[in-house]
Amino acid sequence: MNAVSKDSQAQAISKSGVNEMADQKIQEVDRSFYDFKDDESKGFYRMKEGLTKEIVEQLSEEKKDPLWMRQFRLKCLDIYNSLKVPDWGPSIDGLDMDRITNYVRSKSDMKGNWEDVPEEIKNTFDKLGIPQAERESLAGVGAQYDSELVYHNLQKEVADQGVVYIGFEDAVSGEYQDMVKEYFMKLVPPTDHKFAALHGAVWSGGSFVYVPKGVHVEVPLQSYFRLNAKGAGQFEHTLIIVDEGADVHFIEGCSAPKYNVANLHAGCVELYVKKNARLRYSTIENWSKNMYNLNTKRAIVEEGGRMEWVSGSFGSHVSYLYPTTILKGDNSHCEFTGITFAGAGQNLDTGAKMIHIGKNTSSYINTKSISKGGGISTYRSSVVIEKTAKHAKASVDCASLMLDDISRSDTIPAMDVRTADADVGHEAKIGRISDEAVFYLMSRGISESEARAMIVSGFASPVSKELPLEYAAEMNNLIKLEMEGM
Amino acid sequence: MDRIQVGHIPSITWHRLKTNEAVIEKAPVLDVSVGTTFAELPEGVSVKTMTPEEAAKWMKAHAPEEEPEKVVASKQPIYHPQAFATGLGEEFDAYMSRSLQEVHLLEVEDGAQVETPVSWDQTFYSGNQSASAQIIHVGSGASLTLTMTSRSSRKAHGTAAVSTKVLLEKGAKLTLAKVQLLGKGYTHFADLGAALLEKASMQFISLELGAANSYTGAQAELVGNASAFQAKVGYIAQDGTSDMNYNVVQRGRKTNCEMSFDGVLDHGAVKRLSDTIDFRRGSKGSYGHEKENVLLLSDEIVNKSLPVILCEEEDMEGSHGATIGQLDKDMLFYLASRGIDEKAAQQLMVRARLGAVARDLPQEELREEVRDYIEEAFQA
Repeated sequence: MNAVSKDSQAQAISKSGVNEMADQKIQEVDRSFYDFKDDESKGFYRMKEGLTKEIVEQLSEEKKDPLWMRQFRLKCLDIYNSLKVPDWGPSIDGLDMDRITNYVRSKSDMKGNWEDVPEEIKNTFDKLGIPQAERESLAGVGAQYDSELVYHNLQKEVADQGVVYIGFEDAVSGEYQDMVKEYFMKLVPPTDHKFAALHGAVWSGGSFVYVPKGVHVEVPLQSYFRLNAKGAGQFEHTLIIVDEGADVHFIEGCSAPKYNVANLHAGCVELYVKKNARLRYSTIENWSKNMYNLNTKRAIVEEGGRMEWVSGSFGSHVSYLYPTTILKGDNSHCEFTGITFAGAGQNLDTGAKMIHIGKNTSSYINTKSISKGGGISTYRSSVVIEKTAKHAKASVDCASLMLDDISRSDTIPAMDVRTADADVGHEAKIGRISDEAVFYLMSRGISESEARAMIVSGFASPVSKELPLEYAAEMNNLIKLEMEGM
Repeated sequence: MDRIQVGHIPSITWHRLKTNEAVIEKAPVLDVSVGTTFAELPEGVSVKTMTPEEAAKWMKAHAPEEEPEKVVASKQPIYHPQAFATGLGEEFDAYMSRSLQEVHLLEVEDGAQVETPVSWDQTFYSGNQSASAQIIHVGSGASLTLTMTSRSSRKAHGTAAVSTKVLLEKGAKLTLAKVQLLGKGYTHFADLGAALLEKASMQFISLELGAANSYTGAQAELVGNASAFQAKVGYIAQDGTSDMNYNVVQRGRKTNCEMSFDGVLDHGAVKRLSDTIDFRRGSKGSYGHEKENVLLLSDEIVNKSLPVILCEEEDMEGSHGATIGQLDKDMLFYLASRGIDEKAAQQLMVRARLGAVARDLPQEELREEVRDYIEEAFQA
């Protein structure tokens, strides 16, 4: 656990006493820890607000894009302008693209040595525990600050195995450019939705990972995204190719300080899981409550491949997040495990999509959501079993917990089955904390608030145990459901 | 010819899935009103005929005023401004109102306990584009069992559009069974809207067994405390469309909703079910459960399901479950070892599945008729 968070918790206990501490156990996720800002006047470069052809061209110029990428960006801008915002999810009326700055960077180039990173930025990531986590439990780390990567490093032993983990821009213009050209925005085409097109037009930063055939990366790789700039957008692109028989775990974390104007995150993640490969992709999202998180994540899995998503959504003002998996190869498999905690001022619309194409494919979605303090949590999913997906099996299990009567919790799961030779099951439950369970715990000498906290912890534990807490120090701080002893 | 949207869910999802609603591009103009005659009505039950305008006035005077909907912290959910909400929604209402000539009002006096089930049978004739509308009003503390059967000859074709609005006063009880046994050339619309006041309860049984295309829906507004709605739906789709739209809005305290859908899809059937349980703020102590079982018999089918729970109340319990698939291989093997081949096993399962719904029909003759109809459908 991060030292800063431990200290602050200890202070909380000593100041407030045990009962108050127990009351805090099912408080909303405490983001104050992330709410520190760097002064942008110190050598930051900020592009003009808004989204025009000139801005996209200027961005392309800044990034020294190859011609094909420049043309691609402009095509995406046209697509963006031709598409409407979705009418089915939370309102994004508060997001005014004319007031979003699509590109902000510090004056530092990307460093391969932590000591060379500018002091303010280093302090930011130090506070978040990233260098510590890298030392202790990660094979490689990328750190993005606003629109650009500021640090990227891969352990020598892992690099020696042939694993590639570099900044996405280096991949676009470097030795992997052919591979990038082959895969970039093929899985998430810019026509997919308005914010995929936006991403295509103004993407900046992100990571490129290639794990060669048969290579098992024993410890995870991590990218951390920090959006410091007020009123800015972050549009990183993550492309991971796990070649045949390879195995890797990738962790993504994100946070931002809170501002009184909207910030936007419209990243894009494209994951290619080749034959008999395995990829686990874990995300802990803790954007601030002024963030519109309109992120797109998609994986395609070849024969015998295995995709595992672990997703924790705690931050953002509004979230649209539905990692999608295309089970293209026969015998491919996917599991999605997710938790969403919506507190005051949050409208988090999260879930997953599964598309079964290959024979004997299987998928399992297991999600938990908690609503509190007026927060809105929506579980939204789709399971599509195509005609070709003979003997497919799909199971969905979603549970929601309402912690008060000013919040809202919805489940909107869709299923589309096009072959008789499939088994699809779905279960959903919404409820509150059971009075009987609270009574039982109280009869064992536990206070009511402690009992409620224990029940919430138990509710979240099937998911939280999947979260890679031991790998990134920040993550413990994200769930202030407080799972420790009283 | 009209383009109409049938079905509306309070909270829509991805349009590309085409699960939010159904659209009929060319709905024919309805030009025949279906007459109704009752041999003898039990004591306490009366039927009268009204013009559509009189019916609208009657509804305005008697139906509980729906609370103004508030949009919850976003532009979703979308609420439809239908005066008296039904499953198929306002566009279907408007479609009907363009051609309706009369509306029947069936009323049960306050306190009347009608022991004998009332049959309201309607026969549709081939080539007709027919409409029928009725209001069922059960007075305080009264109870009624009503079966409404739509029939035609097996080879008939046409349109049969039926709109039913139900108002249950305090403590009223209604069992409403709707059985559709139309010919294979029919397009069938069956819409239901119900408002239940305090301690009122309704059991709704729906069996959609015939017609080429069927669009059905129900919306129950549980306005009063301790009101209850139960729906048991069975359907067969062997080709064409089976489209179902069910919404239950739980407003009162301690309200109760149970919905189950059992269906069989064969050949090129395309089925869509959207069923929503909507717990509104204030519906403390309520529970709502829905479950769906679909038996898939062909590789040409399309099965779409959208079981939704919306919740803005803490003190409630909601759940839904769905199982979609074919007959279990182990069970088929077991039956084969007992000399029952796959086709016979399928028929057995279809009978069992729909028989569980038909069992609740109040009249033995109707149960028999349904059994025969299913048998015949699957032998063909």
